[in-house]
Amino acid sequence: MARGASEQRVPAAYLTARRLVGVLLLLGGLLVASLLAATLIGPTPIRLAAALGGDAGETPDHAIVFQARLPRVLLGGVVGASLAAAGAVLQALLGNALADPHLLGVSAGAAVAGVVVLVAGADPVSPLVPGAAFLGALATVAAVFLGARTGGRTSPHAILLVGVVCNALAASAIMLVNAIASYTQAQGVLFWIMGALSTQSYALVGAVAVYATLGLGWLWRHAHALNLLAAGEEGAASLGVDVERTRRAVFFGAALLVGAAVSVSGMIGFVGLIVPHVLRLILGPDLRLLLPASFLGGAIFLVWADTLARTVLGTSELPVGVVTAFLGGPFFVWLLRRSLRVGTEAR
Amino acid sequence: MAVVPVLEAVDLGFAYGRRQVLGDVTAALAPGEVLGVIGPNGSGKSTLVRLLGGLAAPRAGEVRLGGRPLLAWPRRERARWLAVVPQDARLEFAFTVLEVALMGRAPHLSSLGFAGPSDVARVREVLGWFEVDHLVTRRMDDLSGGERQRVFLARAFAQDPRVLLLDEPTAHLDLRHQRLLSELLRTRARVDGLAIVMVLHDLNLVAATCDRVLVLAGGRPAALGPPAVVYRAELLARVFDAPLEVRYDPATGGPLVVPCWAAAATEANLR
Repeated sequence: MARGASEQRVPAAYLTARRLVGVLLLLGGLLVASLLAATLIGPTPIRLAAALGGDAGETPDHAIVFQARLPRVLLGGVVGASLAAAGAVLQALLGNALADPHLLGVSAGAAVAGVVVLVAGADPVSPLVPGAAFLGALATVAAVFLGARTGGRTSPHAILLVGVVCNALAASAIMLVNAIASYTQAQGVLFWIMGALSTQSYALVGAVAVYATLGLGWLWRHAHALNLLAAGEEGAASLGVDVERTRRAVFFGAALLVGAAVSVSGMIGFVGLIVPHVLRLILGPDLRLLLPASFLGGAIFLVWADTLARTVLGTSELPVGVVTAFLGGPFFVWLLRRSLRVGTEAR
Repeated sequence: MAVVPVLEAVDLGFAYGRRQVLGDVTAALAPGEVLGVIGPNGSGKSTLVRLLGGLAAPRAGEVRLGGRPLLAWPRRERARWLAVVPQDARLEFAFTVLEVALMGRAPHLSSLGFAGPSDVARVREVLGWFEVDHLVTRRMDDLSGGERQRVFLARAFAQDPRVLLLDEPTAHLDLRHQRLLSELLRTRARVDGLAIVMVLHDLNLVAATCDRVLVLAGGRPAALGPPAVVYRAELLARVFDAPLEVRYDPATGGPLVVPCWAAAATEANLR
């Protein structure tokens, strides 16, 4: 009987195109439903008829839905998708289920670079900001990887320690920039540290969506090479994988996703940890499915986390990073305990 | 009769920093030939496998696969010719047995690696050789060490290679599966012309399986030839620094190495 229960948790034996499409359509449907539902939920009740009604572009309901809520909900979706997809590929590349763009300091690296160009005078909505965030993320992910690597392997716990150091350094760098910045600029800097969603223009949401989709497509092409990397670097190489090229491609794609997300929402933690991990338990570790599923699942997760952040305190709002950290912190400790336990049993 | 070698090592040498771990290894492997590599711990066996598999670049000499320098091969093409089962193969994340075995098909598929029915059929057949085909839906972390090792062996066979490199493939296998592996290697060598290099500590399994044996001592070849020629008590006792006798299997006439534990104990007591 116990056997039967564990048999049920077993994912399908291998990935077929049919299963891939089926799961993604299901998640896509859930995402659309979540976007619609989240748009209708908020401190002010919405009368659907008035919001959508006829040619009226002028009712308050219409304005709340289309000018305030929908762009923010969409932005949450894009940011969540980017962070979760980046988490999924980083976990596979590092062979470490505890990897997350925020924990590894990659988000912080993006934030530092973004803050620097902002304070240097860049327009907050210019492509300079995501560009700088991308470069910051790329530099950090490479530094973390090289810092935790000895003898062709990356130690799973060393990589988290290097991430801690990167986060501490980045926090200090942001404080430094903050001290130099003018009073009005300092207000903007705070938002990068908090990790919050706000209402942005459709143009900006669209631009981030383009970066995110490009990043996803780029990474998906390397999904099977990342699967083979589960056999270790030499194992993957003997199966025909160009490990070095795959690694560089993943650094690039993950940095693109993280840079895009951080440039519009600051440092939102744990999305890239929770979403791929839960989905891996349900769907199995094959990244050809897990990567796009994390993209959609991350969008669903952050949309609902932000709905909670918008509504839980009544009329005042929480930064969504607070919600994800309250959910993700205990989850991380649970995962860490589990990985330590598995490590002891193996010995 | 001149047989074209499928894998050649020419004056192969390797060093970690200044420490030389392998030198002067020259050997050629014909299609269908099984070469055993034996030697004490630290004699360079695993390093030799890594060099032959193209996983490390030699300091001296060259490896040739199908007459071409190994390091000049495109990786995917190389993986269609050459499969490696490393010592202590490992796998992160809870892939299923079928997924792992299908990874062996990767060099034959597009870079996205979607397997077709013929790949699944082939992989199931190979899993059957190792008696793990009933485990296809199980996750790797649910298996015993021996079952896992057999899946890794099946993954290498699923590559349909012309050359197979095995480093301690029997480490987790029970007696029955050691024998099965030995028979399977002989069959695939004879039927498919598969060339095999196998590093093994079990000298008798090597004698039963291999056409020729390379003896390594201190990173250098001490002998190379058929087991009946190489297995001399004096040579093996010196190389392994352990008292042993070589007898002959009455059934096959092949050499059998018998370690002399009692003699070793007595010697130690006398000292």
